[in-house]
Amino acid sequence: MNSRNRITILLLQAAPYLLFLAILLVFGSLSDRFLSLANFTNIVIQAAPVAILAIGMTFVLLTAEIDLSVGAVMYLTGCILGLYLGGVPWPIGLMVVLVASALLGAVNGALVAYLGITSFIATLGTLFIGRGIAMSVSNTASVYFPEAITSLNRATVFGIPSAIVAVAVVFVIAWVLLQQTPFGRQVYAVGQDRDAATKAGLPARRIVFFCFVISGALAGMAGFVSSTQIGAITASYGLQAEFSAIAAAVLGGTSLFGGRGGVKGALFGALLIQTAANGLVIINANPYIYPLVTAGIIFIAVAVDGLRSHMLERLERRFIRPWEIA
Amino acid sequence: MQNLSSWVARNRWVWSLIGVLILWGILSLLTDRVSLHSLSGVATSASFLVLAALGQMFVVTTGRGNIDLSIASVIALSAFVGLIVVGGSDGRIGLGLLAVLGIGLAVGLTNAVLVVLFRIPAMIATLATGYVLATTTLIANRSIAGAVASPALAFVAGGKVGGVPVMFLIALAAVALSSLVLGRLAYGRTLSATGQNARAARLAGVRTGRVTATAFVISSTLAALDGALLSAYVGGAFLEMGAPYLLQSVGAVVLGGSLIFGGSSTAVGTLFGCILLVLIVTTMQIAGLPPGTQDIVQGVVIIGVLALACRPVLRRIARAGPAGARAAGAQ
Repeated sequence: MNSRNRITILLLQAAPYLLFLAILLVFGSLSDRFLSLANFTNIVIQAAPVAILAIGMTFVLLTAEIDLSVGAVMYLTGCILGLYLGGVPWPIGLMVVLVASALLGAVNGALVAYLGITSFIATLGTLFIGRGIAMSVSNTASVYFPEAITSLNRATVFGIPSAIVAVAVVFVIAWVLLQQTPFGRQVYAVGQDRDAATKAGLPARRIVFFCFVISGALAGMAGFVSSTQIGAITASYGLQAEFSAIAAAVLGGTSLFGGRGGVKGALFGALLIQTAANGLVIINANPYIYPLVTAGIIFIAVAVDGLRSHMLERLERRFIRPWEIA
Repeated sequence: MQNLSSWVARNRWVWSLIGVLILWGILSLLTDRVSLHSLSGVATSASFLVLAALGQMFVVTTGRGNIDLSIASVIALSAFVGLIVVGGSDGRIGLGLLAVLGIGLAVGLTNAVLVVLFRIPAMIATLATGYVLATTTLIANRSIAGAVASPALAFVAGGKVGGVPVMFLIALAAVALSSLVLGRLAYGRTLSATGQNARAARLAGVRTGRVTATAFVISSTLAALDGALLSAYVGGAFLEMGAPYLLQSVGAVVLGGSLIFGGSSTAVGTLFGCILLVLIVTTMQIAGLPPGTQDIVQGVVIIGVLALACRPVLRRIARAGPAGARAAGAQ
């Protein structure tokens, strides 16, 4: 019984990697263009916005909360950038976007951490508010970005495309913050057992608040990167972005129940989703199929997470000394 | 005074009724366009929302953060299917109803399996099924404009009996039935028990999984019926048809005084919550506010109400100690 459980958990944990392998094998056998370095670079560049979103989402998920408003933050800050900051140099534009999106994240954080509103309702509300504000400032018309911003897409740093540089910078900062600082440890502690963390003297509310600020700021960053890539945004921009972000984080092993996971997984998850999408494009699949495939991947990811959490919970309940089964 | 305040605490729907009356009073003072005539329009719009919101209420009552975000897509899909199967003839209404009920049952069972068996958080599971359904609708059909609804269905959805919209009578009946189920029937009691403390309910012999699954089936079935009636009312079906019902159904439940943590719901409150939300939307349409403003106001209202409503609950949980907090905060 003991070893069978361990094998099941190992299998559940390996499921996303097996899925990735399967995707590579299937599309690789269907098209010879798929498994090329050029295509892989392409995949990484396209995955950049979702990867950044997912890294931010990881912080929120680790505290056992959720942020559904990231797509709205992308749309709203994109509108601000395109409508009001067309003439300024891009670093200033990026700064304004980051500050604005961090403020929006702070609103979420305050609602959840200090007013005690369930996070999925609070952020569902701010999702509608954010999209509403964006639609009224843009009058639901398309917003175009100036050449100064779209040219960033072709820019490189030491030969590395700018989008990849952006992801790398975000990833390194997030990884250090989460794995090497007291704040990071506290995030895990709050997510695993909020009561115990509070009793141990951790400022649980403040930690949850800052996780939402990080998620908001990174949503703004993701929006900025995707603005450089697509050049114009419409009223449907950022719809269901929260979905891909959550899926990417969960695929990478971050639990929806808090306390387990990390930013490395978010990167992997974003790559997996984008690889599947890219493969579908390369084999010329019906565009209507894409959402079904994405949804299928998400189902697998969250089902694995749910079953794993359930099993771990059951094991911990049955064994008085839980470390013996680990 | 003591009696009154404890009565209000037990009957939280009073607040939404007061809200409706105040907003109605302000509206009739400010503009003469709000009249008894427009009242029936508000009642009809609210009725479509009531059916969706009652289903949402059952799901929310099961607690654990359960919510049904697939309602919007179920409404759109069943609107299409209803129009296509009935095809404008009264003779095929039975067939159409069967098809629509089939959709509701299938989606509800899918949600239930995902949530209860696979333990996927309801928010993600229902968002995903909604996503899949929306794509299915997209593949199956683009849009049906100006389709003719069958006369009988059109009468049910848009007709009046003695000046009262038939839809409103249906909504009232649904509210009465839900009230009965929640307050008087065994299922309602087990539903509340599951929402208040699932572990205790299970130990007391309640089959909590089955109770939760039933709530999801009720929600999808009501949404499916709602969609079919809505398509008969507007005489067409389009993809974004159900979209407003996503936030509004949750909003109406919360506004009506049901606890978002589950375990305590009121069907009458949901009714008044629906009327209040529809009044707010109508006000904004009369005022001619720019696009997007409706979403902003609805979001602000819902967050505001929750901010007010969550405080006493949190205080009570804090007093009950960590066990209570864990039960309420657990996903």
